[in-house]
Amino acid sequence: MQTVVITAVGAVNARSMDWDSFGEADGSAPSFAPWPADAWSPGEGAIIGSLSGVDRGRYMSTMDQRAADKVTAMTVLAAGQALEAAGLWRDGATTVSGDEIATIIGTSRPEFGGFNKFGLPVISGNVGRINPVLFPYMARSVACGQVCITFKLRGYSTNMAAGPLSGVHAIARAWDLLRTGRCEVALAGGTECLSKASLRYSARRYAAASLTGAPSYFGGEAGKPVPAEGATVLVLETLESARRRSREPLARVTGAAIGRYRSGTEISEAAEAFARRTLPACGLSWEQVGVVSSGVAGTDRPSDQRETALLEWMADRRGHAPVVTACRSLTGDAEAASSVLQAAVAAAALSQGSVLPTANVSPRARLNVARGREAVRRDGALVTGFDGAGAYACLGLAAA
Amino acid sequence: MTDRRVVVTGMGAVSAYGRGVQAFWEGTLDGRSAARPITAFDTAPFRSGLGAPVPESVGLAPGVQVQRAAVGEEAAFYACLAVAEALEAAGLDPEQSDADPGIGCVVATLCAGARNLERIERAYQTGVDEAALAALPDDETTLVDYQLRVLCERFGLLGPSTLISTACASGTDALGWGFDQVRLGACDALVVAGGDIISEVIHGGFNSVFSITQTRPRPFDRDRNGFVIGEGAGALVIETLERAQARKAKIWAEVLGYGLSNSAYHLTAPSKDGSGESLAMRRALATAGVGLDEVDFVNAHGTATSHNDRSEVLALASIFADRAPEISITSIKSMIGHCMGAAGLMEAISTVMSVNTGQIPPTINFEQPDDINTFQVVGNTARRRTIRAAMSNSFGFAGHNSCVVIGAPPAAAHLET
Repeated sequence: MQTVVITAVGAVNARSMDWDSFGEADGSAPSFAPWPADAWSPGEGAIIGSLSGVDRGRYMSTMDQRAADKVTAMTVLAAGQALEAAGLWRDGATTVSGDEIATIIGTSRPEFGGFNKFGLPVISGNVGRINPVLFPYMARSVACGQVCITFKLRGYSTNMAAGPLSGVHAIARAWDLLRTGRCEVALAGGTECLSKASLRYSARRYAAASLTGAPSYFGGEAGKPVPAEGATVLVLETLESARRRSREPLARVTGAAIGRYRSGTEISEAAEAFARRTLPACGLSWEQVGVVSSGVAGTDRPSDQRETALLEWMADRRGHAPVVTACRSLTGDAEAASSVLQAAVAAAALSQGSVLPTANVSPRARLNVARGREAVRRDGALVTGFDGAGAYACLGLAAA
Repeated sequence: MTDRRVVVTGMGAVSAYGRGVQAFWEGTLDGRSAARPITAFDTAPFRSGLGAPVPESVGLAPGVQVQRAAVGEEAAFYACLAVAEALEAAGLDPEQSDADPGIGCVVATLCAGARNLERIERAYQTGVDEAALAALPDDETTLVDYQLRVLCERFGLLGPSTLISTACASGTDALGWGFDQVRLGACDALVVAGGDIISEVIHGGFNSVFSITQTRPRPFDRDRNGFVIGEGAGALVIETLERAQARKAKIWAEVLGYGLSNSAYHLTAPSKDGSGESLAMRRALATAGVGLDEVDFVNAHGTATSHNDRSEVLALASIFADRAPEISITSIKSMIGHCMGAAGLMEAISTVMSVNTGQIPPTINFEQPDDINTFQVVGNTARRRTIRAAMSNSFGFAGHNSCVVIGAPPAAAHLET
C-alpha cells in the first residue's frame, strides 16, 4: 500500500477567500451576516456565514463563468488554489497529466439551490420558461464536474453525498484510491452553498434553538447555529509523488473510519466502540492524538452533544487530553466544506506545531480547547465528525 | 491489492414490471416494453409524456413488510423493498450479525426526495396556511442522504456507509465503492442499493435537452432519438468469497473490478470521441485483471440518445478493436427506461443474471444498426451464450463515467452451491 500525504489546501469561506489568510485567524469571532429577512429568518439575531465576491474569472472560461452557479464557482476557486499551491497548475495547465489526477468532492445540500433555479418554472406552471442551460446544475455532482472540465482532470472522479460528513467521506475515498495505486494525485474536497431553500430547511430545523448571544462551543448549552457556505479542497498524493515533485507534505493520512453506531447507543458504549474500532481504523491510539480537529458546530444539537461527550469521556478515562479545536467557530457551519477544513486545520497543526484557535468557547467547556493559537504535539491529529443519528466519519493524520 | 475476492450473494429489485428480481429478469428476457404515458402529473406541457413508472400495486401486495407511508419517500420505499429482498435472498439478517463492524451500505441515487421537494416548493410558491404546511412531507425526506439513513436504521447496517450521487453513473460508481470496502477489509459484507423516481422537474429537465423520445427508446438504432425516464430500485449483497463459502451462501457471480473517470468535456454531453468514457472501462479491466479476449458481453449504458450511444460505441471500439463483432452488447433501458441513479444497480443485477444463466436480455426496438457499431447488438430477442466476463457501463451528467467487470462465480463456489 502507498503512503498518502496532504500537500496543499485551497479554501474559500465566510472568513477568508484563500487558505493562507484563513491560517492567520486569531480567536476572535468572525463577522457573520444577518440572516436575510426574505429567506425564512428564524428571528431577530439570526446570522449566516455567507460569501460574496467569489472570483469566477480566475480559472473558468468566460462561457463557463456565465452559467456557473455559486457552489460551482466556489469549488473551482478552491480547487484552483489547491492545485497552484501544490505546484500542479501553472500557465493554464496541469504540470502532471490530468488523466492521473482524481477528483473527489463531498457535498450535503447544493441541490436546494440548483433545484429551485431550474425547477421554478415547472413548479409554478410556466414550463415554457424552462432554461435548459440550468438543468445540469440540479445534479449534486456538477461542482465536481466543473472542476474536472476547468482543469482538464480525467482521473477517477466521484461525488459523495452522505450528509454533513461528506467531506471526510471524500478524503477517505481519495485515500483508498491513492493507497491502492489507482492514482498518484487526488483532489479531495467539500463544498456547500446557501440558498433560500437550504435556509428554510435550517430555519425549520433550528426552530427551537437560541438565537441570542453567540454560538457556544463545547459547553453543552444552547448556542446560536450559523448556517454557512464555502469550499475546501485538499491535494492528496502518494509520498512517492510528493518526493518526485519535491513537495513538502503537511501531514500523512494514517487511516479513516466511516460507519454508524446503533441509534440510542449510550455514550460509554459509543466510546468503547470508538476506542476499539474507530481509532485503530484511523491508525492512531488515543495517546498519540495531540490535537482533535472537531466537527462541533457550537449548538446543542444531538451531533454536537454526542461528540463533546465522547471526547470528554475519552479524555477523562484515558488520562490524556489532546488540544481540541473547532474550525466552524471561525466560519459557521458549511457542513461538507467544513469537514474538509477540519482536516486542513489538523494537517496544518502537525506541520506547524501549533493549532488555530476556537472562537466563542463556552465557559463551561471541560475539554482542553485551544482558545488562542496553541502549541501541539506533532504525533497525530484526529478529525472527528458525528451526525447525531449514529453516523460518524473520522480521519487520522500524523506528521509526514 | 489484496487477495480478498468479492462475490454477489443476494439481489433485490423494484422495476416498472413490479416488485422482485424475478419480475424484472423475466420482463427483460421476454423483451417487454414498460414504456407508457406518465399519469402521475400533467405531461401536456412537455415535449414527451412517456416514462416507465413503477406500478402503483408495488407495496400493496400481502406480506410487504415495509410500509410506504412509514418510509415517507418513494425512492427510499422502493430501495427498502429491494434491500429486504436482497438480504433475504442472501440469507442474512444484519440484526443477528455479530460481525464487527457490521454489514456496510452504500446508496446510489440522483433525485430521491425530488417529488417531496416539489410538493413543498409548490406549496410555498402558492402560499399556504400553517395547517396545510403541516400536512407536507417532512423536510428530512428531501435530503439526499435520507435514503441512506432509512436503509441503515431499518436494516441495522452498521458497517461503513456512504451515498454516491454522480447522476446516472451513481449505481455503478457505488458498486465500485462497495467493492473496495470489502476488498480492503473495512467490512466483510455490504449492501449496494439505491432507488430513483420520476419527478416532474426531472422529466421537464430531460425534455428540455431533448433526451426523451416521443416514440420509443431505440438504443444503438440508427434512428434513435432518446429514452424514457424509468423508476425503480436495485440492491446487491456483496461479500468476501471466504465468508460466502463458509456460510454456504448461493454465489451468483464475482465482482472482479471497476473503473471511474471524468470526461472533462461538458456538463451534459459525453465526449465526442469516447476517450473519456474509455478511460473508465480500461481502468475497470485493469483492476479486474481481465484480458480483452475474455470479455464476452457488455451491458451498455445505452440511453438511446444520439450522442451517448455514439460515444459509448467509440469508447468500446477503441478498446476492443477487431474483437467487437465477437462481443454481445445490449441495453435494458430499451425496456425499463433510464432509472438514473438506480440504473447502474439494476443493470448490475441484469449482468449478474446474464453471467449466471448464460442469457442476455434484448435491446428492443432495434431495427437499423448504426454504421459505426460493429458489436453484436442483441436485437429484439434474448440470446444465450456462455459469458466468462462482462462489463456494465454507466455515464452521468458532469462527465462522470463508471464501469464494473463481473465474472462467473468462482469454480469451486459452483460446486459448493
